[in-house]
Amino acid sequence: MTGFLILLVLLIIGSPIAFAILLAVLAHLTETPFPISLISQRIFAGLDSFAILAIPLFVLAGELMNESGITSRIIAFASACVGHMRAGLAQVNIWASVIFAGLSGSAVADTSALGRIFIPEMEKRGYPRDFAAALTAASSVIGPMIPPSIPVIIYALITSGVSVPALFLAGVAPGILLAIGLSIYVRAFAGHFEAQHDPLPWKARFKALIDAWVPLFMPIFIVGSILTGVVTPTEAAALAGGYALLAGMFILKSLHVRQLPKIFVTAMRDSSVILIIIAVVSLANWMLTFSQVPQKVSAMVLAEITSPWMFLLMVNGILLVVGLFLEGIAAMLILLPILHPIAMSLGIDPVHFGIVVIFNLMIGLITPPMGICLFVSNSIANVGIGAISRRILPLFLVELLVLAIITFIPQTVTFLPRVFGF
Amino acid sequence: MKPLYKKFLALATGSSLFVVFAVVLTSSLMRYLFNAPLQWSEEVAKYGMIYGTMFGMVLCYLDDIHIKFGFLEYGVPAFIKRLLNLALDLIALGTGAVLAWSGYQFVLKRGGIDAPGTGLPMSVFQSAMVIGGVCLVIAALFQLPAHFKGKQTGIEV
Amino acid sequence: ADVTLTLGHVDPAEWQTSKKGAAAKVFKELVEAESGGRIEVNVYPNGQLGGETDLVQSAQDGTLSMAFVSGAFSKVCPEASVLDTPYLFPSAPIAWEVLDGQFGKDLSEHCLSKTGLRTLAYGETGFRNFTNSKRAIKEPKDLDGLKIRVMTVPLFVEMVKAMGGQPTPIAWPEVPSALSTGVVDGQENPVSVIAGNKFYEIQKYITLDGHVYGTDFFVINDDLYQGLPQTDREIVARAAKVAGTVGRAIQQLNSAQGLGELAKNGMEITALTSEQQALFQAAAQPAVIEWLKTQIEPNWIDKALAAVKDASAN
Ligand code: NA
Ligand code: NA
Repeated sequence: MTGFLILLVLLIIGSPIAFAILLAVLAHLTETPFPISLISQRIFAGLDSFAILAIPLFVLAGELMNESGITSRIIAFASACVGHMRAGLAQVNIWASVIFAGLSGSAVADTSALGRIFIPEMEKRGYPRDFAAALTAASSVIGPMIPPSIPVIIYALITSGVSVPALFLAGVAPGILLAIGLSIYVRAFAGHFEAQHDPLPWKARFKALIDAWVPLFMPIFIVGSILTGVVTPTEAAALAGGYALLAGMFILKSLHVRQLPKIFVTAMRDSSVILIIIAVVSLANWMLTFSQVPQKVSAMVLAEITSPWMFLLMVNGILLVVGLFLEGIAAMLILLPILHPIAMSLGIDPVHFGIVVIFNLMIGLITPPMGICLFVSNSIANVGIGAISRRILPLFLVELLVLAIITFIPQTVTFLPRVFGF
Repeated sequence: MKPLYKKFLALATGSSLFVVFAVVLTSSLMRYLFNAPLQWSEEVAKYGMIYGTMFGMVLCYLDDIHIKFGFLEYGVPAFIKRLLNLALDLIALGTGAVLAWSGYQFVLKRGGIDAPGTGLPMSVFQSAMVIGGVCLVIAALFQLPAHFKGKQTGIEV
Repeated sequence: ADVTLTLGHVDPAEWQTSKKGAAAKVFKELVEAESGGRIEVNVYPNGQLGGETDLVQSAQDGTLSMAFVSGAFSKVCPEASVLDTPYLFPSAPIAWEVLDGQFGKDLSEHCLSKTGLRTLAYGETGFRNFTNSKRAIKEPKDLDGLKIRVMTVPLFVEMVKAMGGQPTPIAWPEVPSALSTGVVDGQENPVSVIAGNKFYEIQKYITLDGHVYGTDFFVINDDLYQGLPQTDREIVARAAKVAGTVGRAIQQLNSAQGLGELAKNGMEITALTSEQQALFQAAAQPAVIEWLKTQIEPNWIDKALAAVKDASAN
């Protein structure tokens, strides 16, 4: 109880979540016979897993891609494909996120890489700045749905036994559905911001395609190297980094050795934001498990809820509320050890459940008061969280609609993994 | 001194990731191309990441990019905000101290057994907890003096 | 309850399909019933409280009362790895006789003095066998050049090397994917594990060579054990013995059912003749024994070999 109060106070005054959890556990520890070494033990054990290596390695790959000027080629390619449609640049913003998603594992990376280019550019073409910022944040949710994906890796890690390749494949359709949903929305409601123009001549389009082959080939290369047995899914993250490094240095020739130190530092530093939370949450979870809290909660829930549909509805409700306040991966780490076993005993497909949970929590990244993509987008656009939030509301509703579709039509998620034999 | 300290942390953080990257890549290529898998790569990569996380965590604290709730970021009087900032640095100091002490106990209790892949004692890797804690304490000590320098000077927030 | 015993293991909780799950359930039911509720047993299955090494060390420092573990025990008591000597036990009943007899007592006493953990009983993980996707393995040379996934345990690495295979470390969560995409050609595990993880979908051949007999160790923190009243110590010790027996029985059952499942799902099963078996033993055992001698007091190896010989003679 003391632990819980301390946690609350520390969180309210703005302590890093990781530090708050650690100190709260310490307070709780004094009421138990456990030695203080337990804290370091669990933090160490929480990170002592080969699969977690994929997180810093995918962040590194994304960072390398970014620094090699890949982003502008992606945009040029998306532009050549959808730039002539109604609300052309808004379409480009959305579909560039789809391509970028194939390189990056996180929504935050997408927001910050694409936002820097799209927010000023969209404003120039007549879109309100807050709308541009909102659309950038909203479309970045596509990033972690299409593989590679850090939340997927973490989900597989928590639930141990759900296959990463299957989850990767399962996220593709929801990611594209989301892009289509947003695309329809901007076509209907943002067309008046920008004057429509003619499509690029085929020659220019073809050139954009050629220029974009490096980023377009990367997902194929990565998935291919997993399926042909060159690497395991975790090692693929390192291979992705190797690809980005070589492509940047020798094919695009835009990456220089002297940039590398900064790239490695930034990638590891930004990863440790997530990693340290994984570590301390594993400490807290150990405490809760030892006190049999998850076991009791799931027994209670299972006594009340017997239909998978009711459970999915309930989970969506809980996660949407939690997502308002908590960062997605942290939420997953805290809640999944409780929710996943219940889902399994209700006979829900683990891959389906995983994608629904991830999608739901990724939507939380764009909702106030605690939406990291919203913050990142605002830090670029400087229009205020309030203004972006108003603009993001309809986009949020579109995402809810997609969430409902993937929740209640499981085939939208499980179809692709089935085709590949998972 | 503080910029120098940050340089050191950055070096340690970046090198850890470089080791992870190089080792994972090398071991998969050794296995696939030369049919000569490395027995120690998994351990070195995992524990390299743990060291990187510890250094990176301290760097994140100094760069103020840890995940937190921002309820009180805006709209509180300036002097309360100053108090809060002081409190946050004290929290970091405490966290570092707890981590270092508990890490020390951890190494004493469990560091004796050998890691099977490298053959090194686990204490070599587990010490990351102690080192991370100590680094966090040092970082907090760099931050604290600014709160007591008087109101007119710019306080880093 | 006056006392709560906490017990961790890494296997599933279901008793029909999990040897440690069954053993833990039997232990809990027996102790709670026989103590008239004085002792409560909380079981943490599925590695909820950590991996095997973690559980063993937790039992050592008293964070946990008990652990049911297999391979990890030799990390804290290296002499226990003598049981992993390839082709040491010709059959499970002989292994039981050795472990429940004088040799098992000596080993548990030695490990108690070394670790502070009392081995209350021995269960079993089962004989380990090779599977692969390339060819039927009938003699050691068939292993030549095959990439075999092994646990990162030096003894296993030495063994596979001695037989001509290429020991390849892959983290357990990645093993199914590594087998299906061909990162490695094969792996080795007890039949119950092979069937339980549906490796028959991704591996064509299995050789029932039984290279290592996997032992389960049911250990308790000895300080805690000594702190119990005499009657409770007896209840706990007796329940652990029964649990060990049940664990062995369920393992045998899962193994038998698993073998049927492998055949039904189209795996090609190679059973070895005693001549073939001898070839494997000749390839692997001397090399591993040489290596073991550098790790532990050599007389443990002699004692184990002698105990097996005695048990086989009966
Ligand atoms: Na992605
Ligand atoms: Na976008």
